[in-house]
Amino acid sequence: MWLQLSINGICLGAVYALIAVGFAIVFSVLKFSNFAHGGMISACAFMGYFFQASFKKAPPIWVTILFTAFCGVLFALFLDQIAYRSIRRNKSPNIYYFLASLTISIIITSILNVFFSKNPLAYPPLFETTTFSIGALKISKMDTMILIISAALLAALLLLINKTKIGLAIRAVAISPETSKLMGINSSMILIMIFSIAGFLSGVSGVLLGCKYGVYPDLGQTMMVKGFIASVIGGLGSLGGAIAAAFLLGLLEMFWTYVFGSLSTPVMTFVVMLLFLFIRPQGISGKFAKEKV
Amino acid sequence: MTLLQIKDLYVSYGYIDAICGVSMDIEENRITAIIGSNGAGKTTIINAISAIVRHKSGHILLGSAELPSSSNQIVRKGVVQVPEGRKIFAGLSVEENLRLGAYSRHDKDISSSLEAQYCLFPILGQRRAQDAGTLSGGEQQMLAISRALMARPKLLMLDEPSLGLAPIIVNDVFRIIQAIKEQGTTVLLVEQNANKSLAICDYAYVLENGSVIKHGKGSELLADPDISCAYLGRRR
Repeated sequence: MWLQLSINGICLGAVYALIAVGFAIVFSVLKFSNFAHGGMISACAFMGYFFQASFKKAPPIWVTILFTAFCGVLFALFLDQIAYRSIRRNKSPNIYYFLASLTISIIITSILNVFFSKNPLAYPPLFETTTFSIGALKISKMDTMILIISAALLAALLLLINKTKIGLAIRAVAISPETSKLMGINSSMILIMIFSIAGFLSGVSGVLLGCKYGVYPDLGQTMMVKGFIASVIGGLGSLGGAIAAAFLLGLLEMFWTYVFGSLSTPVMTFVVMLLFLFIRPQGISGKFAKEKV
Repeated sequence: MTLLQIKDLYVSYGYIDAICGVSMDIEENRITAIIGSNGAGKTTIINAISAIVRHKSGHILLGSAELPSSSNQIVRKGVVQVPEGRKIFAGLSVEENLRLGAYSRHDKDISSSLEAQYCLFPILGQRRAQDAGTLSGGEQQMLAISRALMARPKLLMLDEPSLGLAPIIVNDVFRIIQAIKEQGTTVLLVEQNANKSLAICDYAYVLENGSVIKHGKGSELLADPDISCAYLGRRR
């Protein structure tokens, strides 16, 4: 039973990790929590759903994911243009970003609420049977797919950030956009790239979440809370920390639900976050507090 | 040969004029120094060249062409700044800092340039994997200079490289600046340490309240009684 729970927990963690990383990457560079991420996930989930439904014979899931991720990128760039660009140009305080992102998230969710009911729309079933078993273990095919896609995406992202020239430039801009310009880095291009990556992630998570939970307007916001908690526990702005925290959160949630029931699970997640803020505010990675003059 | 020419430059911060009609010629393969007291506008000139601040009017010409209007493209033209206060990337390793210096280059020679820098600054070689934020002030200054050299600049601009350093390290820094010039890089040096900068520079401009009040060869200015009284601490 514990093994079964662990497997389920890891699969849940993979979903949280995708969201948390989308949060963390924007935070690391722009130093604000991009709450618009939740609204974008919802919007992308709907886009993916209608893309899938517009065909007589549903296209393979990876086509939908790629299409939606592409839409996510465009959507993120659009939001950057209408909401964040002027904030950046006026060098306004970070609280403006925070408010803008929260507003965007609420607007998107409200618009979706106008057109769609709160009843989840279901993606067409991807698999004929929902689970496969190894011995006594029953493993959901859907969860396995989500785990594989998340893991591949996270690995690719970590490689990009830590091993490439562009990744180095991203880390430099995260430390100081002004000094980065003196290195010949086009800081505004890097910011646009960051939003594109976040948009891509929101597109992928939108489809995956839609497959798992069904598509409804509040989908993104509900899940975003988990991603946000994970990125706080991981140490805001640290990708590695956010991933570790997301898996930790997934496992904790599974075990807690098994032992105490699902009603108190949301309470538990917030208590864990509060505990972390009391005991280790710099998060798992501990990078957050390390800012030198 | 003039490498960089500044013609009638005006820069203002809001209503306050910081630079009022400065003209300068920066000769190739020479050290040109700008000296002056706090608030004279020395850093503003360097930042105007790097397009960190926008100039209100006037021209900054590299060769015969106007410099581009964005900072990152200016670096690609070979005009590179070592900013005041070093501004190294704390949290990244020494080597990553140096690689960032070479960001504007597209050739494959970067690892040989790294080795060349480690030869010039052995301490950086020993600490290549260390977090650059943990280096001492002097080492950070070396790293900042080395990082700028990684871009293979035509014109290297140093903003207060001796600021906040121990006297013995200040001597090192000035020795290195001379070595950089001897390797064929043009240097624009902004300093409050007028004595030392006049001693190593070929030509110098004295800035006061945003205007050039005097310019001449370093040795001439060193001997000038007005300058030595105002900036070198000698009595008349």
